[in-house]
Amino acid sequence: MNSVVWLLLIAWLLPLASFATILLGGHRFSRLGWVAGLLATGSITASFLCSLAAAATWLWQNPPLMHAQSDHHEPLLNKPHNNLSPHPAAAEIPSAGSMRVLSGVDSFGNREGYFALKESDGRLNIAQRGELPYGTSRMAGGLPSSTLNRLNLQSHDRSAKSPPGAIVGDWYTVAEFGTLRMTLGYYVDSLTILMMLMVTLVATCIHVYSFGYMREELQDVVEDPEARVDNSAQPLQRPGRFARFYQFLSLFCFSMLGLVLANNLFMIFVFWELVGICSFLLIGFYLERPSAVRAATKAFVVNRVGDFGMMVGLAALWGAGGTLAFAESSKDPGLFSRARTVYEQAVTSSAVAQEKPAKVQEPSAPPGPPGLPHRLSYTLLVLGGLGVFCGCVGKSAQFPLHVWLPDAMEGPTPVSALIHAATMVAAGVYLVARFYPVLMPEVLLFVAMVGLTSAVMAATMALVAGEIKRVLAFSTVSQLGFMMFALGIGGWVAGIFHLLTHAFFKALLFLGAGSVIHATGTGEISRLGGLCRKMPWTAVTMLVGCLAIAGAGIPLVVGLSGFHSKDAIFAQASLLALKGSPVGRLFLALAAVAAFLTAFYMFRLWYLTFVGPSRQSHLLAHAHESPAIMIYPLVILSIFAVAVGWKIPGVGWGIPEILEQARPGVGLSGIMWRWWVLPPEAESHLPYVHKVASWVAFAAGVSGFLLATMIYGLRLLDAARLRAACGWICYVLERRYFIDELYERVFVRAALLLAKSAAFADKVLIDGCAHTLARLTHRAALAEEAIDRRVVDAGFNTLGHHLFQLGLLMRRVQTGFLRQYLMLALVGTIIIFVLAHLF
Amino acid sequence: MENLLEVLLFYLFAGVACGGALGVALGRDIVRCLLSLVLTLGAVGGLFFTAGAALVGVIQILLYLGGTVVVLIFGVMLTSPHVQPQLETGLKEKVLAATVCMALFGILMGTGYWIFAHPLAESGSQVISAPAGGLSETEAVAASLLGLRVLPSEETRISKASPGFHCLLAFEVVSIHLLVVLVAAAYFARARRPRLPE
Amino acid sequence: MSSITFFHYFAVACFLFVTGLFCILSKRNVIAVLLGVELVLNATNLNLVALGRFPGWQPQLAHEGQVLALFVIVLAATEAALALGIALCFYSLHRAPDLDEAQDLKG
Repeated sequence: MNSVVWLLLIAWLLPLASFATILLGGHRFSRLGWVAGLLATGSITASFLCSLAAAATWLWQNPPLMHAQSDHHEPLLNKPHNNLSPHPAAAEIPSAGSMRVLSGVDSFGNREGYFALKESDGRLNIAQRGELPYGTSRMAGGLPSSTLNRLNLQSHDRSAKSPPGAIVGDWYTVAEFGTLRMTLGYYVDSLTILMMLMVTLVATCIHVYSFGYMREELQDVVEDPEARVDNSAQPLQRPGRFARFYQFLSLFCFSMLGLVLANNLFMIFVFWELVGICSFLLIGFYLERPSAVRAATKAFVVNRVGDFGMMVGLAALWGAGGTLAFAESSKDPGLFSRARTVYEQAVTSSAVAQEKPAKVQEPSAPPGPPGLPHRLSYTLLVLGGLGVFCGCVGKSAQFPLHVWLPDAMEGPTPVSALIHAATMVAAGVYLVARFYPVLMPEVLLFVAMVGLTSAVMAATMALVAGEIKRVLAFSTVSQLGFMMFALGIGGWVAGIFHLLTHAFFKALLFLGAGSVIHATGTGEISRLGGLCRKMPWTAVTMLVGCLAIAGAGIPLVVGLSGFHSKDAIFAQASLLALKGSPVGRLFLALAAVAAFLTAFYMFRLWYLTFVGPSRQSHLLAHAHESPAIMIYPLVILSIFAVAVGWKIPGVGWGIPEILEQARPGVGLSGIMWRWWVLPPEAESHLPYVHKVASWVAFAAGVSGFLLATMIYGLRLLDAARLRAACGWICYVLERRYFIDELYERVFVRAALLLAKSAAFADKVLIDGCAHTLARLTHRAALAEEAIDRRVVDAGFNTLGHHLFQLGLLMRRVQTGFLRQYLMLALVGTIIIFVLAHLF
Repeated sequence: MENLLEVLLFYLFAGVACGGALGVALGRDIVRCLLSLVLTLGAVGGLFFTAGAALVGVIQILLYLGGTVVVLIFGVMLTSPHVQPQLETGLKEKVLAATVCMALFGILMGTGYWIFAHPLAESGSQVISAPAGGLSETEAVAASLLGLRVLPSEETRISKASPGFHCLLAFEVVSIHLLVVLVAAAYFARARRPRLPE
Repeated sequence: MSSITFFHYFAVACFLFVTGLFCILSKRNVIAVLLGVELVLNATNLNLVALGRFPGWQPQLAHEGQVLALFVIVLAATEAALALGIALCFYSLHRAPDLDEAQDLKG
């Protein structure tokens, strides 16, 4: 195995070792909890260092292209490719063989052209491009053309260096059922590297932070005022659980890293569920609180709903595709190439049908060893993609399965930071990104719609949230919606970029909230205020986080990390809008609204917590800055929140360029209808697109910031009157659009009804049958005993009695009187005489 | 004439015998019964004489009246030394016994009549008062004991001993048997002082 | 009844026999039972002797009857002596010559 893979393997297994050690150590750690904490922190730090080493090795071996070197901000019309003849030769259509010909409407102003695509390195590259007279394809069938516009942007580097492929392999085969294989393996490309880095770094910061935050769990007896037992006034007293916290954290890190490394859907699913369980365990960490337990159950159940869809998708893909692996290997072709094959066949058949309706092209034989099922069709691909996305909706708390994330704030704040902000909920986005080649354009449209809906909805709900962590939870849902939206409209790099930056600034924000809660004992905004004097470090780092999430920066020049990533998203959205489709314009508008709301509620939060008069003065009086061990992670994360979007000085590339190496090449863009065109992401860097995007994002952010400052910072407008003015809107938002109530009525009650009827059936019918049977058997036994006693015994007794009586009767002959004996003898003689005489 | 005497004697002895028997049966006292028995036995001896069996008649009187009866008298004396209340059986029993006995009597008489009314029995009326051959009756009996049969034919020869009826040996055996029995009876009847009642 | 036939003797013998039987059956005194037995034996003797006198269809058996009667007399004497011995035992056991006391055979 590659050294990179070795390093990643070690990085993955170290948290597992820590978990196992703490688990097997058991009660010994209950007194020495800090040892467990050190163990876990040490292992995750070592994991981070291994990931760093792996990243360094990878980047050394495969340096990403610098932004200036790639041509993807120029249309390809005039740029010759390697191995290709110069453009255009419209009349000359290359022959088949390694080239495939498509024609259709392209994305540049409705010109019709053709593309000759060449396959190299598993990806299709543009070999040639030409133009056709306008209306050719439309004349063919009179239908809106559904040909595809496919551009691959990887290999247009004149230096003829092809992009690095992924390192794929299997570590362990769990099971083999004929041609279906379930394995544990790795799929390492730059996306994997970056995700590993992010997860381990954020986890390290949070492990360190938890030393300070969870200090009270080191005590032998912890008082929990929120868990009341037996309605007594005394708060509950329980032993401290410091070691258990780090045990779960280690398990979670192991699961998340496994998910990131996975090279097939089976492994993804296994670790998917593992992170779900860790989330359940950690949300319910304060397990004596009924609210925490409810929240943990809700999180798990809602995730399960999503996982159900995921299993349907897995079943479709596995059953029809024959494999769950992503990439090609010697044993099976993998889903990516399978999807590409189906995609091309669908495209080719439809394209050729447009031009020459009489000719029917036979679908080529699917690649891979014979015997593998190849019933994969376009519809099944869409179904599979939708199913897998269903799981992502659950895990990433998108609408309609977003209901668990606000309640999941019952867990300790480091948990919220790690799991429900930076990593676990990002797993859904990560899976969409990883699974991109299999997601067909229909699925991507769905993804974008769901993401945008979540973004806007959650942003509105965050406006009226009254607790710091709730606001941040809604913010997380909203930002995840942004990521999904970006991925859905074709901005693959933008989405992942936002994922990475969001991890940092959201973790920072959560840790800052934790610091506030730790100092004041509450997270209710209505009781806080004016804390920046007492907690300067927290205030400043949280301000950095707020600026990052709002996307503060100088447009088109530089900004915080959130600025760059949001910029990329807006660029892709603007590209879509500028191409003339009204749907694209709508999307851009909604994204802008969401960004505006983001800035607004984040600064509302910051102002209400840190600035102005305190609403409960004694809280302010007792507040103090957090200990150093909690401040250091805040500072580190704020540094990253600022700088992670920049290019690394000296080498000229940054995260986006690294991500470009991993861009998937198939199914990236497609045209389904006239109004839904997925533009290639490269074109989002075109200057005019970029300009629009930057200014829109900047405007949205600045307006939100200004409004918040006016209302909450400078108090020029009265917040209470505003709230009263739009009273019913606030009420709906506070009740979270009544979605919880809807679910309660429709699903929960139905399930409870089903459970109750099942219980009734069991208790009344089945138990009734059993009891009746038992009673009948008892009666039968009694009856039989009676019969035995009365009939049988009586019969025998009577018989015996009568025989005895008969005997007694016959005994009376023996009188002992001699005379009587003689008499009887005489009588007998007489009788004999008489009888002899008669006969 | 002889016939008439014979008949008269017969009826006399028969009457006495029956009367005596009735006296035994109906006597209240044991001694009275005993004396009635004596009378009966004497009458039966007389009947023997009239039947021409003088030897048997004599033996009867000798043995029975002289021996058996005496024995019985001694028995009475030994078992009833005091005047005791009469041992009476119930009337019911007596009636039943009488009924049974009369039934038996009727049956026996009926049977006898039926047998002897048979023509074959006619020849039974042949009376042999003295055996032919000149032997007296007693000699004839003695000869029979020795196994000689005297045929009632004109021949006066004594036939050969017919096999089958040598009873002299049996007679001897019976005598010894009598002796043994007498010894046993003496043993049974010995005085056992501690057991005798006061 | 011009002449005495066997039947006359037979009738007397039967009467004696039945009477003796009656004595046996209806007397409680032991000795009385013995009297009855004597009567029965005498009846038998008479019968035998009568048969000796009127042999019927076996004329060669004329005197056998008397021989048999002799036997019977001897045996009767025997039996009387023995019976008396038993009666004395019985008397000594039960202190009364009451035959009804002999209940040992009672089942």
